[in-house]
Amino acid sequence: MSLLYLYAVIDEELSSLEDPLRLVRCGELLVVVGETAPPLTPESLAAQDAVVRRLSGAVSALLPIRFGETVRDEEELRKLLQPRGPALAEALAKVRGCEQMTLRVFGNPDPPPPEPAEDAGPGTRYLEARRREVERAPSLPEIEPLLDRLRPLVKAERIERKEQGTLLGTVYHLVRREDVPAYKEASIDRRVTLSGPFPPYAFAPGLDT
Amino acid sequence: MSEPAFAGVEEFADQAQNSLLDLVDNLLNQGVLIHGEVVLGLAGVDLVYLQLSALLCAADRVLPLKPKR
Repeated sequence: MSLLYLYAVIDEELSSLEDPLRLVRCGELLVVVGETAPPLTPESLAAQDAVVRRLSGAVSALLPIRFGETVRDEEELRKLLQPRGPALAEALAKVRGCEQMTLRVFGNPDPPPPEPAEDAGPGTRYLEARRREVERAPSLPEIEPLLDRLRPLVKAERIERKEQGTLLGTVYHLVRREDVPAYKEASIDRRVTLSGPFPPYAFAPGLDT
Repeated sequence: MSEPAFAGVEEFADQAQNSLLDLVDNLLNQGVLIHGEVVLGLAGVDLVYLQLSALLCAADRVLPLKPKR
């Protein structure tokens, strides 16, 4: 059965494309597609990442597509992309000329904010606790001074707080290509590991767009 | 101030560039979702079938409460 395997969305023509990849035009957007869906193995992940990196190096803006995405044919691809065209074009404009840098933050969590007054009822205490959880979720106050130092070099930021053992969470930064060396230097901190530059995987729009 | 958990991060930075953790995070957790339906296979066997557009929620949030005895 034939299918199209999807690698990335771009918005500019490529003069050459490695075999067997090709471009499918969907309105203003172009999708880089292959003909074979790879199995889920570390080698396949690395191979797809390598393809996306090479593509990313050849264009000014690229949105990687999640591993494993296939469509039946070009018609289905156009049908699926058409309603999301504006959101994808906006995301491409945002990542243009940028790379993703990833900070993983380790350490002990800062103590949570104080509990509400004891005379509050159980419902109020529950809602207060939920509110504090929600407010805390996308932030990493433990490294706020480092983030403040980096922000002049950062075009966009995504924080995922997910406490697992000593891992407190992950910060994804979108950094202009020319600022990557300065970012690397400024991000040296004993509580974080830095990886990247990557194509802007974490700044690709999800299903909700 | 939290205790530092990692030392020598500066040496680690570039080595980690191609780590499996980043590959898994970037390629399986991030990236454009085209239609929210992804089949991941290993050695010809489909391992994970994600119908992401389906409603996912905990059963205790949708099932009727059992009457208290």
